[in-house]
Amino acid sequence: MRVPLSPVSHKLRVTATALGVAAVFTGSAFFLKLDAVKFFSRLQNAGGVLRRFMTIDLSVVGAATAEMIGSLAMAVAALCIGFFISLVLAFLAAGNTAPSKPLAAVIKGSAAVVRAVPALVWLLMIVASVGFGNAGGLFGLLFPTCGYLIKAFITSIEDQGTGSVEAMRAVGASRIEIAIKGVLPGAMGQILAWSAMRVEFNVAESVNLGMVGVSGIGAMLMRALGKYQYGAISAIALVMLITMSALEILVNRLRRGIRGGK
Amino acid sequence: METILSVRALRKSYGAFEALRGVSLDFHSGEFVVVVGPSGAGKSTLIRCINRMIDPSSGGIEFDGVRLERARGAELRKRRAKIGMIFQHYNLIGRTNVIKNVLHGRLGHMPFIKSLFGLYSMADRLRAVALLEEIGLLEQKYKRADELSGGQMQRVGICRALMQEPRLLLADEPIASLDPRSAETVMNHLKRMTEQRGICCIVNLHQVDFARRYASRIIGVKSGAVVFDGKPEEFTADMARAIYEGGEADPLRGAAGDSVSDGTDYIEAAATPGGEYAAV
Ligand SMILES: Nc1ncnc2c1ncn2[C@@H]1O[C@H](COP(=O)(O)OP(=O)(O)O)[C@@H](O)[C@H]1O
Ligand SMILES: [Mg+2]
Repeated sequence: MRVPLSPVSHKLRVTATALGVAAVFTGSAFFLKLDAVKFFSRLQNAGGVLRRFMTIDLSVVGAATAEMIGSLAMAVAALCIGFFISLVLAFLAAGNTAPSKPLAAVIKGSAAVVRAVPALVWLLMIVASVGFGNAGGLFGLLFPTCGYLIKAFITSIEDQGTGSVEAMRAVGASRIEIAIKGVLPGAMGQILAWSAMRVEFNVAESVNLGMVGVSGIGAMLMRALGKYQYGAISAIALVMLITMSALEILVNRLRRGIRGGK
Repeated sequence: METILSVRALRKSYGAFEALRGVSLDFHSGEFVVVVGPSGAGKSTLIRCINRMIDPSSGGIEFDGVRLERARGAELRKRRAKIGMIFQHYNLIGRTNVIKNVLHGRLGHMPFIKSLFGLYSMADRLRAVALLEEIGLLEQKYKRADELSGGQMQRVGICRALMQEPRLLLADEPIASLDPRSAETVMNHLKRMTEQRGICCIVNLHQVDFARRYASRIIGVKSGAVVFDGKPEEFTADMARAIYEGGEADPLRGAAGDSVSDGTDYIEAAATPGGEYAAV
């Protein structure tokens, strides 16, 4: 007697799904007019271009590092401001600490809208309305930062449950006391871990910010690209690569430290 | 005996369902009142309406000469600060150490800026230490609360409540999550410490044998109404059976009590989660 490991209906569903995915991919490829022949013939040029990129122009490394520090500063500043805004809004919106349900719904809804719109679009909109420059860039970065952190913080706060909040209410503590004494001790580890994670995103966004015209290493990269200075482009990319790798290692250390300290 | 709490025609409805249907009771200082009744009878609702963790639909609550049902905001917090509360799941702040958990009992009594920075007065700190010593947890005072056993956590819960210097103490199923021996320790401390201080203590329990042993007065609640109010010796096996009749648990176990004193007769041992936790 044969014993199928899963019901026939299940197998049919898997097959149908696989066929569906294949069909969607083929459709997409036709829609984009992907032309494999042309693509691979152009690839032959890549060798020459790559060779030109190999000559790194070390004279721009100093300037690139300075610009990179500017981008980092903007990322960190946006994170610090966004951290406090998000923390307050998350306490007002989390199920166990929210003072009013409609207000909580408004905060959660707005954060969802902010997240749904790509970060670059926020940057462009803010920069277009308040102008280029660091203030505009910082303000633009705040939106994606808060959109992300509010959601993350709400989860961490709700993880603490209703028991400790109830106990603090019962002793006559105020909302702020409940938040600081009753909820934060348990939630702080997670909240810091989320924030550390956000540092990386913010630096990446901050580099993008330069590419749309605000200062920072992104702007420098755009200028070099515009003038086909391959050596400078490579040097700038190298600085970015080293910074991002260092940052990732640092953030991972930090998060492990936070988890270890629990 | 001085009346410190009067509940008048207290009602609470959830939609069309009435969890409390007009409860009127007086409580006096020094009383150790145990509220018994089957799961879903409205015990938690009653106790939580008193300090307004739940807002009653109608009725009056007069505590210490003040009408609590109308209190709001800072006024309500000031009143709550005078009412201690103990929970089934202890509700300590797990990451915070024991002595700080005890001192949380002072939060309702001090200015915000001081509480924010943990600037508890030396007198408060000494009192916290004295309470921990009295309840046998002085050694654990710098341990994190989540490192304690259930019985120890509940003793910290008692200290936190007493730290409020309350005139009234509410306990909602304080021993329902404890093994029989810890349950007994906790009940002994609770009884002794509130008696010494002349505090009125209202305890929800579902173990009738515990109620008989500790209560100075038993209140039986069924379907949101008071059906018994009297001395423990008047709370007969027949009475217990009548109250638990139609409840979800077997009325004969524990209530009729052939093994009354071993502390293992949980009448509501199989209580449905929905009924028990709905209000929590
Ligand atoms: N938030 C709520 N919504 C609807 N019904 C509730 C709610 N809280 C409690 N109840 C109902 O009220 C009744 C009394 O509950 P409760 O006071 O917790 O009973 P007990 O503590 O005696 O077990 C139960 O039937 C319960 O299902
Ligand atoms: Mg209950």
